[in-house]
Amino acid sequence: MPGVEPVVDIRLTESPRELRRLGARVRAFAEGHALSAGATDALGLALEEVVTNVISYAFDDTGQTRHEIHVRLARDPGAVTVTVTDDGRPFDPTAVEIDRSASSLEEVEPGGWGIRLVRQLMNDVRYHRQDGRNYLELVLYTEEARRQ
Amino acid sequence: MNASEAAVQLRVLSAPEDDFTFVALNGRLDLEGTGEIDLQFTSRTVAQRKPTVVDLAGVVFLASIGMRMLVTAAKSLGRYGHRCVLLNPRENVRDALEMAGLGKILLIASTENDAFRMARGQ
Repeated sequence: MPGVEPVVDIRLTESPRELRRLGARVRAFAEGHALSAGATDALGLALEEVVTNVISYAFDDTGQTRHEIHVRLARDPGAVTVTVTDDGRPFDPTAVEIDRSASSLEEVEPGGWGIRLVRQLMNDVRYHRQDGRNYLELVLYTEEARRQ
Repeated sequence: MNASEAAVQLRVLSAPEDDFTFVALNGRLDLEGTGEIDLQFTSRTVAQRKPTVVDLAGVVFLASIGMRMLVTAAKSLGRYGHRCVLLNPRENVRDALEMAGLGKILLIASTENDAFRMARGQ
């Protein structure tokens, strides 16, 4: 699409306030690439969950060191690929076991819903650790890919 | 700032003398929004110890941190013998609840009549 950047880089600090800025950038990216409302919602929610996890749990030094979270949105034919990198403690969300046993309010315990959402919202989730950084790649197939 | 980025708000729609609690949430229940509203929401719902209906029609975005707030309130009210019913969530909010596995665990109603009937255990 002419005039629309195929790749967008967003750099965030570990402040919860950054999530609103991220959400606005994701919506602008989705609008620029004419993504469906469903794809836009899926990207927004998945990224909210991933970056919330990073902000909440990745860093041990409670604000003593400035950290940067890097989000890259890339539009390819048939897919959007999102890469989130951070220099926090190693964490592989693809290796987390999801407890699906609760069937009532009494049984359910809060936790794990964010990772479960990300796995359900995205078509592919991949993780690797390199040079002291976490790399999480989320792939969402867009409508034209599903039709092929 | 457009409507979808507005701060989260809580409106209390029931009167103190009512035998139920009725509140409405508006805005984004994301990390920031939930942090802003969590204590107020708990004091206006759980602390009242009454059957509770939470109107979610104005919630444009629900993240897992917001689900945690809703589930914690519902579980706490359950310990007092009261039900908490979510009223009229938008499609994206309902979808998120379903994907998190909470669609059949939380009580969800599409109309006020159904919500109050469910909250009273009828």
